[in-house]
Amino acid sequence: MIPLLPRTIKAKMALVVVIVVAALGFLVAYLSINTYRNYRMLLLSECRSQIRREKERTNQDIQNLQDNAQELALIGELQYRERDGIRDFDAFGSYAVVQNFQIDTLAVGGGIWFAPYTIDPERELACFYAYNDDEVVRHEPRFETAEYHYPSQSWYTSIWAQVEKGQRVAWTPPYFDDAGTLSLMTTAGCGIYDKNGTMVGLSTVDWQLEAISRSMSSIRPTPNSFALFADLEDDFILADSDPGRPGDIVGRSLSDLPWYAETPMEESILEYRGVRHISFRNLLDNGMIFVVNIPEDELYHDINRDFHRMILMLAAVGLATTIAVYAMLNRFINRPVAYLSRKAKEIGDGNLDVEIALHSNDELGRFGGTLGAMAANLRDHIRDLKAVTTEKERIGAELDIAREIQSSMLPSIFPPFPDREEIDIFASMLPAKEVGGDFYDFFMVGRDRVAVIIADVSGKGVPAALFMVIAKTLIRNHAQMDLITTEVFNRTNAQLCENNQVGMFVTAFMGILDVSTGIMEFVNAGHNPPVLIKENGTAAFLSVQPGFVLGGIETIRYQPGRMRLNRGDCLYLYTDGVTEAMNAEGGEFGNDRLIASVNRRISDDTLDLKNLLDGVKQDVDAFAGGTPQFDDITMLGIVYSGMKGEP
Amino acid sequence: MQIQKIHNGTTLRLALEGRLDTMTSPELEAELKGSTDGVEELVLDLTNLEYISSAGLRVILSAQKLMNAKKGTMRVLNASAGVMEVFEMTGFANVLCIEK
Repeated sequence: MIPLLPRTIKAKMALVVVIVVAALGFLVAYLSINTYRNYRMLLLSECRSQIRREKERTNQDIQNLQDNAQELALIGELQYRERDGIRDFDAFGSYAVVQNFQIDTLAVGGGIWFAPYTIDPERELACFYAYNDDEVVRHEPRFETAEYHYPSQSWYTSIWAQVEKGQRVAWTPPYFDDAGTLSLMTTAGCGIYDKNGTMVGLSTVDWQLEAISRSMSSIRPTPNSFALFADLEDDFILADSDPGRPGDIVGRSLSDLPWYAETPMEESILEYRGVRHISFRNLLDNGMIFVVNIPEDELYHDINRDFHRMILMLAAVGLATTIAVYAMLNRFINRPVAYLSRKAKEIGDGNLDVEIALHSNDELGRFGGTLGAMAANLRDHIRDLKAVTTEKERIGAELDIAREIQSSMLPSIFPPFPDREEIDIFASMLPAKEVGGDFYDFFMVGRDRVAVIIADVSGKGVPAALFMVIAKTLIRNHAQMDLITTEVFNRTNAQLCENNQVGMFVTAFMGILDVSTGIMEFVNAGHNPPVLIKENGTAAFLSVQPGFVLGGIETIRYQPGRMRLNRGDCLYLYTDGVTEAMNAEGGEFGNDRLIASVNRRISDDTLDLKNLLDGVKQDVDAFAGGTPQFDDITMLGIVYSGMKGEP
Repeated sequence: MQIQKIHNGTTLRLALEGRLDTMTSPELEAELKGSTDGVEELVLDLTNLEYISSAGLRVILSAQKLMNAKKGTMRVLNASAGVMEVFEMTGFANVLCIEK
C-alpha cells in the first residue's frame, strides 16, 4: 500500500476530485493563456496594419502631389518651347494650368512659374496659378502680381535650390503662407527645362498641411493614443496630438519633444509619463514622418479584461464543480460506504439484528441488501444450529444415561457368589464411544448350576442397545426356567425372530456349569469360540460348533455342546471387540495375539481373573496405539475350583 | 463400495467391490429393493469384497429371506478368506449357499 494515500474513502474521493479538477483547470488555463497571447499578437498586428495603411495612403497622396507637379512642369516646358508660337501666352498659361491641376488630390493649388526674364527679356514675371475653390478649379491671378513677386518667395528659392542640385521633385520646408492661404503649407515642385537642359522655371503644387495634420492627429487607435507628424529633414514639427505636450509645438524641433529620442526604430516601446506605449514610426516618401504612440494597456484593455473575467469564472466554476462533484460523490458513494462499513462492523461485533436501511437503486444499495440478508441468514442459521445443538446435547445426555443404564444392567458385583467356593467369575464391559450392544450375564440356575453368557448384538447405537436388553432378558428368563441350553436358544431365537422388522440379530455363547460334577453344557449362536485355559497352563480355543445367529431365521435349531472342566480350568469368554481391534495400519489384533496375551497372564498356581482380563485389555490397547476403540470390549472369565471340600 | 449389476433373464448377478459395512450396506439394501422384481435367482459375487461387518451380514440375511419368500434361490460366490471366516464363525456358512 502506498503510505501516502489517505485512509478514508472520503479523503480518496476528495483527492481524485481535486486532481481531476486541477488537471482540467490547468488544461483550460494553458489553452486560454495561449489564446490570450494569440489575441494580443493579433491586436498588435492589426494596429500595425492600420498604421501601415495610413502610411501608404499618405505616401499615395504625396505621390499624387508629386505627379501633379511633374505634369505641370511638362506643361510649362511645352509652353516655354512654343512661347513664340502661342498667340496669347498668358491666356494659354492660365488655361493650361487650370486644365492640368488635378482636383482630387490634397493640393490646394498648383502653378507654373517661369524664372524672371526667361520668357521675354522685357518681362520679369510670368506665372500661372490655379486653385481648388470648393471642388472647382479656378485661375488665381493674385500671385502674378508685382507685390507678391514670386521669385522672392522662400518656397521659390528653396525649390529652385534643391532642383538645381539635382532633385527631381523638391519639397520646401513647411512655411506659413501669410500672403496667400494664411496657413501652414508645404510645396512640392519640379524644374522646367529648355531643350538644352537649362532650368527656366518650376512647377509647384501646394499642400495645406493643416488638413494632413488634422487627419494625422485623428489616428487614435485607443482613446489615449497620440500621434506626431513632422518634417524630419527640416526638423519641423507639423502636428502633435499629445494633450500633454509642452504648449504650442508646431514648428518646433523634434528634440523639443521629451520622448522622441527614445523611439528610434520602426516599432519600439516607449515609457512616457509612467505609461508604457507601443510606438510606431513611419517615414514618408517626402522626408516627413509620423509617429503613433499607443498605451499598451489601452490596446489590450478589452482582452485583458476578458481574460481576467475568464480566470475568475474558471476559478469560480472550478470551485463550484469541485464542491458539487465532491458533494455528489459524498452522497452517492462516501456516505453509503461509511454506513455499510459501520453496519458491517456491527454485524462483525455480533449484532445480527441490524437493519440495513440503504435504499439507493445501485450496487451499494444492493450490497446493503445482500449484507442485511446475509446477517439475517446468519441469525437464522445460528438459531437453528443452537436448536439442533441443544437437541443434540439433550440426546447426547440421554444417550449417556442410556449407556449408564445399560452398564448397570450387567451384573457388576465381584465376586458374585462369595459363598460358593467352587467358582470365581470376573467380567468387564468397556463400551466404545457409541452406545453398543455387547453384554455378558451370569446367574445361578438352581442350586448347583451357574450360567455364563456372552453376546454381541449386530450394529451400534440405540437400536442395538434396545435389542440387547430384549435378548439378555429372553435368555435369562428361558435359562432360569431350567430348560436345556439348546432349548433356551431355540425359544429365544423364535421370539427374537418375531416382530423383528429391522432384521437385527445377536451372536451369543452360553455355558451352564454344574459345579457338583464339573460338566458344562454349552451352546453357541455364531459367536467367537471361547478360550479354554487348562489348569496345566495351556490356552486354546474351545472347539464349538458355530451355530447360526439368534434372531436371524426362525427355523434354525441349535446343537448342544458338552465338556468337563477340571479343577483349576478357566473359561475365557470375549467379544470381537478384542480380536477385531485395529491399529493405525489397519491390522487386527487377531486370534493369535489373543492366545499369546492370555498365555502371558497365566501363572502356575493361581489364576487371577482380574489380572487376566486387565492384561488382555492392556495388550489390546498397546496394539491399537492411539487408534480409538471402535467396538465394545466385553470379557468374562470363570474359574472352576472343583467341589467344595474336595482336595 | 461399487455394485455391478448384470441381468440375465431371471437371474440377477450383483458383483460387490470394496467394503460392506454400516456406511455401504444401505446401497446394497436399495439395490435389492429396487432390482429384484421377477428375479428367480440372485447371485452375489464377492470376489472383490474386502470386508464385511455385522451390518453387511444383516443385508445378506435379508436378501436370503427375500429370495426365500419369493421361492427363489440365492448363491454367494467366491468369498475371500477373511469374509469366509466371518461367514463360518457366525454360522452364515451353513445357512447361505456359498460356492467357490
